[in-house]
Amino acid sequence: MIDIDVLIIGCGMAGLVAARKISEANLSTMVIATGLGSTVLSSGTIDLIGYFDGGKVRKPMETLDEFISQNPGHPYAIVGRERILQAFQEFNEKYDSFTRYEGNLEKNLTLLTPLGLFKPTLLAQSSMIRGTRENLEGSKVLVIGFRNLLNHTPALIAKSLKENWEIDADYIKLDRSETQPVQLALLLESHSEEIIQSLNEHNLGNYDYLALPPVLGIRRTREILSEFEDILGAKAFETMSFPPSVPGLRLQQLLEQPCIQNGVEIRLGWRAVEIKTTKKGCQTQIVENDSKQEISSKAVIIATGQIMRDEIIASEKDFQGSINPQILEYLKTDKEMRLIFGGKSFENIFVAGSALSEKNMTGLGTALSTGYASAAEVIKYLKGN
Amino acid sequence: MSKFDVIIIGGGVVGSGVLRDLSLRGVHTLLVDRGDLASEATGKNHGLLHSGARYVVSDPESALECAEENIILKKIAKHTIEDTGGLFVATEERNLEYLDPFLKGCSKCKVENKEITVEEALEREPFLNPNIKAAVWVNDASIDPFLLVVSNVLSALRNGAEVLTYTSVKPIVENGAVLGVETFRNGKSEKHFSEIVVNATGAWAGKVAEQAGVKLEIRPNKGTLVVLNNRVTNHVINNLRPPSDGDIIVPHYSTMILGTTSTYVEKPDGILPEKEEIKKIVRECEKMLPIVADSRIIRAFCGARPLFGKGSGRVVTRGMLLVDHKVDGVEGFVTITGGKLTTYRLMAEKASDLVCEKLGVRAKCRTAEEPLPGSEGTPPSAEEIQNRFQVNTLTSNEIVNKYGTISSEMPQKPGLICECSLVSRAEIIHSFEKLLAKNLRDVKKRTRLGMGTCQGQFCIHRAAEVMVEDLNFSAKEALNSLAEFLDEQWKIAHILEGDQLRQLMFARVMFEIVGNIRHRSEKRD
Repeated sequence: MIDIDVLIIGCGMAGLVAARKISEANLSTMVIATGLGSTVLSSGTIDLIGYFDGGKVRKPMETLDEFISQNPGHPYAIVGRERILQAFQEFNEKYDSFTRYEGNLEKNLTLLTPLGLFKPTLLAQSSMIRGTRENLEGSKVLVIGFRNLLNHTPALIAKSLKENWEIDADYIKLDRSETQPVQLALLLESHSEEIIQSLNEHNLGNYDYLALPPVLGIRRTREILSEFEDILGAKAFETMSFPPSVPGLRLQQLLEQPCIQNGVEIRLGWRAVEIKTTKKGCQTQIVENDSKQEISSKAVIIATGQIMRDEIIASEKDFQGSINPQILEYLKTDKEMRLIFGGKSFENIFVAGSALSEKNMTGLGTALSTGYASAAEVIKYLKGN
Repeated sequence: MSKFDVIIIGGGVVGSGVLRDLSLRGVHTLLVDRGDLASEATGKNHGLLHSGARYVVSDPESALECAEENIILKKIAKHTIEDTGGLFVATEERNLEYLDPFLKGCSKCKVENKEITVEEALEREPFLNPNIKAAVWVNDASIDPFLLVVSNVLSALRNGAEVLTYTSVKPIVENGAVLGVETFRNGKSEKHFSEIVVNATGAWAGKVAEQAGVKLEIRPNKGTLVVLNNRVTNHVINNLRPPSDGDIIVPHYSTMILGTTSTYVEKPDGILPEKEEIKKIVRECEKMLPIVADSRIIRAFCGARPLFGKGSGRVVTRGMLLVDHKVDGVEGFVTITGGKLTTYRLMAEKASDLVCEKLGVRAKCRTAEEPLPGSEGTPPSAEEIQNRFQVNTLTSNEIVNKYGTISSEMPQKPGLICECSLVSRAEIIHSFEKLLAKNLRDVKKRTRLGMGTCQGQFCIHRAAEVMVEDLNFSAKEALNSLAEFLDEQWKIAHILEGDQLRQLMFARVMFEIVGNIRHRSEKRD
């Protein structure tokens, strides 16, 4: 039997943000998950509030209070403004490695999407930060693509820029056989020069900006970006990503790295099937194919997401019930992020991430805020203030 | 203003069948539909080419018609048909009572049949319920109704016909005669005149007749169908019992379609499948093929059968209704409705005979002998297609199977767009250029783009790129098309479960949260 302080179920943004914070408080922590969840598929940006009341939000921190008062059941309302701000600030400061997220917390960015539209978001990977509407308007843009790369549509992006925003945009498709984004990213990671040189074969004009597919390596993105800039004498950026997503892979690694450094064991392929809880602690049954194990912990955080989540059975003394019965049902917590289910509050089961989301989905903002908040509550529960 | 001999309202299989029949007889004909071709009942059924066996006991007249048309269509429309054969299996002891009248009926109605042992049935279809009590082989087949319609229209176009899709229509009636139709498209109206207007609007026939000043009672009957992503049978599987809900499984490409239900509805517009109907169909079909219970439902849809006359949906004859509304005091107006996909050609022949008689045209019907475009001559080899389109062997085989000789008319544009249903770039371009597709939903019908497990999540984005890059659509048109495609998928979210629901939500996050498709009309502010 494994005996730890905190077990976290789910290894997306919410679970891993919580794991880092809890492990930094010197509590022994373990993460189990059936597989990588939705974070690894994410776009490379983190939203707080993009649209509200039918309108586009420019300053999400200013809109937050009104959002909370109109959506009292939303995870943002449970976490509260102050902690949300802390969560975003800490993320911006502490997650700085081979990639980092940038953005002014006061003001949304308006970034180029894979459909050639612009969308408001709060933080973006540094390689993407230049692709804003403000930058591109009035500039000459070249959208660079690869002939066989799936899920990247340079002609659509260029035409949409021209039609909708009168941005002078062209596109070019380099003749490559690679079809998958990760395949190209790995190739660029090791052989970027060869591919970039091939741009010389084309007689390209002068451009202010190069819009590149989000495949510029996994760890060397900044270098590859400047190699493109050097050869074409223009500023370059990656557009947001559709899945399968290289920026999502970078984020996953960015989130995992500090956990691993702090000694957090991340076990993939294990499914939590049952949590039994008493005031003393939780006994969680985990299974992998035919293997079974029991984990004893003082607290559990359920961060199993929304789209990919599975069923877990939870029971507390006289209460027995199955949680997450339906993908479309959301879990509820009290103000301290403790699970409320079947009319009961569970003292040592906490919930984080999009398992809590109401209908209005937020791109990772909920995960970040609730991951942070649940960790803070677990630490308070186990160590006091 | 323009002038035709005949104007047909309705681009389903019957309307397009009449269009072809008349065009082959030299009659100058226009077909108008408010939407795309094959967008209602024609495309919303199980895609079964009946052997007739289903009706031999309850409706021998229909059974005989089906048996004859089955043989004709296997000749003239072979590229749209997968000649699977069918099995009728008795799942319960008490259904054995039905075996004898069934076999006798088959012989009487000239339905090719052979009783086989349960062992043989299981050998042919190992996923069949091992507890079945009896099995009869019949010559059912699966048919692609979209390609059937498109091929009829292609043939007509070659013979001088004209077609307007996405065009609303109203009969022009003066002094007790229908003189033509007024069409409405993109905010513009236009008048088209003809000697005769043919009402081939299926479950909407009563409504159109009313506009022409004629009372015609059509009872729309809703049938719901379920699509599974795994195909584990090569035969059509029928339950050997009197016709009832959930009695058939039809293999289609890489999917299986389970059907169906039968409920009268007030109006044929806006009907959606219900979870209860789906549960019932699955519960019934798993009696024949137990694996159905654990299979992934990727889609469900429903269509409105145009039934007429009294009685319940099951017992009333599905035979055709052909009316010269002269009997109602209206000249120049003919309705053809009812019937079945399998008997569309016969219905078209009867309607065209009537129209020609009224026009004084003597030319005879040629549709029973003349193959449809796609089934004329020898199709190109899969190797040839593979080289031209630079696609894998599976895809090139699929292209040749689907389009037959039409595949040699496709543009030489390389690449695979839809990985679930193996749809190439060339097919998408060809659909727009030659097969009257106006948007991605139309392309889906013609090519099967987005009909597989991911339901278009990845391929429609690529197809939007094809629209912009190869076909000169604007970005706005491509994105609108993409959004409409998604909206149609999301209409059935309420019936999905498990992995397919995850898939749908995943697509939603992708296009709405990341792509920002909902705010595509946002301009500078």
